[in-house]
Amino acid sequence: MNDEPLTGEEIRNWRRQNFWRGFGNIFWVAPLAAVTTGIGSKVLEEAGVSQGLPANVMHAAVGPLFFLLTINAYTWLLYLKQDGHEVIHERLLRQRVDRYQTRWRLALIAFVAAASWLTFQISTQIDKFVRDPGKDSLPFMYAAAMASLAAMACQGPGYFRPAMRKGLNDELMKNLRRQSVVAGYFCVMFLLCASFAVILFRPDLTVTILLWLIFAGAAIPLLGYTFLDWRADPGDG
Amino acid sequence: MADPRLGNRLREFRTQRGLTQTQLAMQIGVSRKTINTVENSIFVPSTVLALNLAHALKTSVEELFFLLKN
Repeated sequence: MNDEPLTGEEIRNWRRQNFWRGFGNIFWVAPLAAVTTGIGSKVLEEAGVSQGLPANVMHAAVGPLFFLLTINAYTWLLYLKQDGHEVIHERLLRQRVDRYQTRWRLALIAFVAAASWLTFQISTQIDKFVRDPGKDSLPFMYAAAMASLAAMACQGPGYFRPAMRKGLNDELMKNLRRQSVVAGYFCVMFLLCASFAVILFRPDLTVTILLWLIFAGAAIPLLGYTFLDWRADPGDG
Repeated sequence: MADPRLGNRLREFRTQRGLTQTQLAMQIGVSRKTINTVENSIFVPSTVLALNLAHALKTSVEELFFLLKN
């Protein structure tokens, strides 16, 4: 391991690279989010699920673009301010790995909270959209969630970059993830069986139940992981 | 993840060497949490990690880890 501290020049070079990388991300992630939103809404419309979703690609693009620009700019500034050089300097990353793991845990909780809000919105309003397609706030909810996901994936505080992932994913983390996925699988299987029984008696709730099952499939392993990670946290430094 | 049959003297060896969990973690390239969970018998390390720990603490794996009777 190279223990030498980074020079000012190296840090400046890294920040310059980081600026262009962050800037470039806007140009590929924003259209991607817009197109995905457009395609998603078109598929739903064709399937007759809801006619109230975005009517055209321009409409679909406004929300993701706005949110993405804002969030991306914010995360980029945050990154530039304090975190830029850890990803190229293993020793610094190692020194601050606790802080990064805690932040990652908070990001996962925020993601689950946003996903639960989105699921709630869709499940409670989907009937209204089918009846009255003129009024729609759902696209913006959809756009907000898309943008949050995209921002987290493309920038965040660099969590998806190989150097950072290599530093964060040690043996314990991989083990915790494996445990939480297994626990999530069993919970979702149980919920699936229970849902089947409910749908037999209340078929009108099928769409709502399926939405919440999708949410549970993502949320249970993530929350399980954050719990296990939090439980492993205390120590004597 | 935890194995009730396995004991360890990691904390004892670490403090003898005057190392904190963070310092030991940095030496062998894992997070402090990994050291903490091994010390508290929450996590059973792989053979590679056990060897790395023993090497960093200048001891053997058998000294560091042992089977508990009953």
